[in-house]
Amino acid sequence: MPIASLAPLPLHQLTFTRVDDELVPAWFSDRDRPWLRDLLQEAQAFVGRPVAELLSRWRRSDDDPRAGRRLAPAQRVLLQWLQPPSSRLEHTKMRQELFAAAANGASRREALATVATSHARASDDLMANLFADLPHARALVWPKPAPSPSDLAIAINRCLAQGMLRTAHRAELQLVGCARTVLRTAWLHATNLVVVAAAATHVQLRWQCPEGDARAARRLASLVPLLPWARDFELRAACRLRGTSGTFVLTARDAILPGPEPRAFDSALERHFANDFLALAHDWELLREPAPLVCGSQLAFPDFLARRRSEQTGWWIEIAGLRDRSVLPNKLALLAQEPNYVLCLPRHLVPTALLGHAGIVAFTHRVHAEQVLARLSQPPQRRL
Amino acid sequence: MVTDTTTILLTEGELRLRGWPSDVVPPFGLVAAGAELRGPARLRRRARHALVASARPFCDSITPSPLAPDECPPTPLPPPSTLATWLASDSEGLVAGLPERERIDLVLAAAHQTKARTLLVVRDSGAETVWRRALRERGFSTMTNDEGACALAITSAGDAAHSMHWRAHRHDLLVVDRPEQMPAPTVHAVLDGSAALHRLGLVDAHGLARVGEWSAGLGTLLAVAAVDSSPRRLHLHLPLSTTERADYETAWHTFLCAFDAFAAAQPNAGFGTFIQQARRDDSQRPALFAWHRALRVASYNAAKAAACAELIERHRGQRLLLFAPDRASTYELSRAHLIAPVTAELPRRERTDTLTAFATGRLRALVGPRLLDLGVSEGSADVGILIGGGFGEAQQAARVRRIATTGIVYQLVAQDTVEVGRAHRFARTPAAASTDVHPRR
Repeated sequence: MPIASLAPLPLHQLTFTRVDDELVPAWFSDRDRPWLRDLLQEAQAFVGRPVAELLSRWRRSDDDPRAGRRLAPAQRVLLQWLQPPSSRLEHTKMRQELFAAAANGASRREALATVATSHARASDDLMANLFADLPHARALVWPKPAPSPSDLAIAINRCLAQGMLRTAHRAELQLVGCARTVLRTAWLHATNLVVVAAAATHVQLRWQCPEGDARAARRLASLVPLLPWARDFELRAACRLRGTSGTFVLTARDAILPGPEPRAFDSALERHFANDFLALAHDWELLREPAPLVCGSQLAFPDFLARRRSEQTGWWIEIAGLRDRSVLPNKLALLAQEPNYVLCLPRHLVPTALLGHAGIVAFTHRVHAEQVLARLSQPPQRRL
Repeated sequence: MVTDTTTILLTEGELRLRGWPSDVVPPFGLVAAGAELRGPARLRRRARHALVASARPFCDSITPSPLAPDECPPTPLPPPSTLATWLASDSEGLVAGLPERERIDLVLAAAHQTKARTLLVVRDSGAETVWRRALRERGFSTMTNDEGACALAITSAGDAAHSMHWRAHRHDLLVVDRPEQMPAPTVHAVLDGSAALHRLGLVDAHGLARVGEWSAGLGTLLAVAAVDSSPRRLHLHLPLSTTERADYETAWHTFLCAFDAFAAAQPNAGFGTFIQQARRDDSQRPALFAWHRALRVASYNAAKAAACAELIERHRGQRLLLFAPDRASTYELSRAHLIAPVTAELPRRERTDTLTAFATGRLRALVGPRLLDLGVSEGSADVGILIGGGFGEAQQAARVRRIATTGIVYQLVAQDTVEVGRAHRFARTPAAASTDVHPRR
């Protein structure tokens, strides 16, 4: 199973303590590595065998005294990691056709032959794999790269954090970087994240569980794998679980397994510019997808924020290849609104009236970092 | 004289009363927290009664919107006889022993009379499937209206217990079907978490002994229906093979050695205490495994497999339900006889489709462990085979009720094992006949 698909821990396996009003999870850490290593070794001996055999072995063996109550969540997460994705739809179809054929009076041989042929399988193979998609029958697979005890610990932490968040009814998220990715993912998942405040380097988002929506908190929890890709974040969620209420706090300092890496850049233009700029401007820092800008009734996501290391304020930089030319007016509106905004446009698409505009850097094949740097070195001025 | 109005609120699943009159005794279970009284949501009803009795004004912010005329369920005619009793006891109480059809009638009639949005809590997804199908056949949809509030919502007990903090104020009639088949903590979480004014519990006759457990949340026992005639029952005593007998005796001996020592040391402790201790005690745990091993051998073995094959062949073409002891035997029987299984491991959609196919006659046989207990309608099969295992009298009675009164139930019992005593203990009526059987192999 890809690590992106690890499910949150269920309520009864969440381990936490309540300190003042904060719910502090019992994070897995380096001190758990010894028994996690033993757990991995034990599971590795069952590779290629059905899950049910490993489960049976775990049920019968003595609990590791080093693990205590944390053994069950660790086993659960490890099992998910070791199971391959199932071909559930195909197997369901096979079963339904087979039992329907038998119910209609077909003999065993006829029913098997008919269904096996329609699924391009041999009859013996069909019967042997009739329930192969079910959890008890799936064979364990050792992932590549092989998980280490530390990997397992931070994977469990992620599942623990997601499990806690599934009980949330409101949350606040402060994000530095990766804002567009998080907001786009939240929009795709129908997670109702609202921008409350946006500064140059960070954005503050708020989430409130809609009335009667039992799955809203799960959708919020699905954002957790993205958060480690931000430069910094702090998520505070009001949670209610097992009769206790409190605030669960998740920050960039908590060790959780990041999800699949989001694309670092949207295009080669951006990638080349970032590399060139950082090579040239040693006393500047470049932050990717810093925070959204409010432009009218919409949000705009500049590609970069550049600022000198000693300064608080910076410059927004947008590199627009303009595959869709209808967005040009929006970008020009932003240019008029923000004094600290540099817009890089293909030379042949710059409106004639704006050639020579102080906030526009025209390029042909590549955005020249020294031209942009020259613009940034000028004082900001109100334009248009 | 200005009388303050008491406000009744629900916050994060907890009942809160503000401005409670100082001269009115609050219902037992509410505790003072600053200027408020707080307690489980179920006390809303008692709080309202106390305020009405003392003629004090109150504002109840929890009241869900009543059903619109087009949302009201059709009322069965004539109305169920138990309806009047329930309404007379202030729309709260338990009714025992009703057959499935009359349960549905009573729930629809109660919702129609009270005009209240209803939450129906059932044991599992199998029971949920049966209720949805039955209500659809009556022309009543369980879909939500435009505002997102359901006229009649059906959910499993586990889901209800987990989500009651947001469901609590969306219904005013709580119906719990077969609480005796649900874990006690789950039932209590549902009953305490619901703020419904009207409450109805539907219990099987076997659940009468536990009625007192639910009186705080569902009211008193109002009526016990007479049990209809049951299908014919036949116990078949089957021998274990030599190997199986040796396995069973060895396992049983290991278990008894530990259990006898336990019973001698703690004569007043029950088997449940032994289980709890043995789980944690390295020296006793092998005895627990041995107990399970012995049960496994007794509940499904070569003779039972052969008996199932004979019975399936004998009753080919009839509607057949096989109640297996566990998943492994379910899949084995399914493979051997091409009978559709129903287990919790299968995808939910596939399970629902299978149960619907049986209800509509497209499938004539099903095999499964617990989901079949309530997942098929009562009286929907001609033949039932209780292969082994089971959790007690209530479960066995539920299984037998799936078989039509004109049908037959075979109970397969492993000879000279713990199953013999259990079979007689759990059967509500004595078997019509019991016989030692040596099936053809």
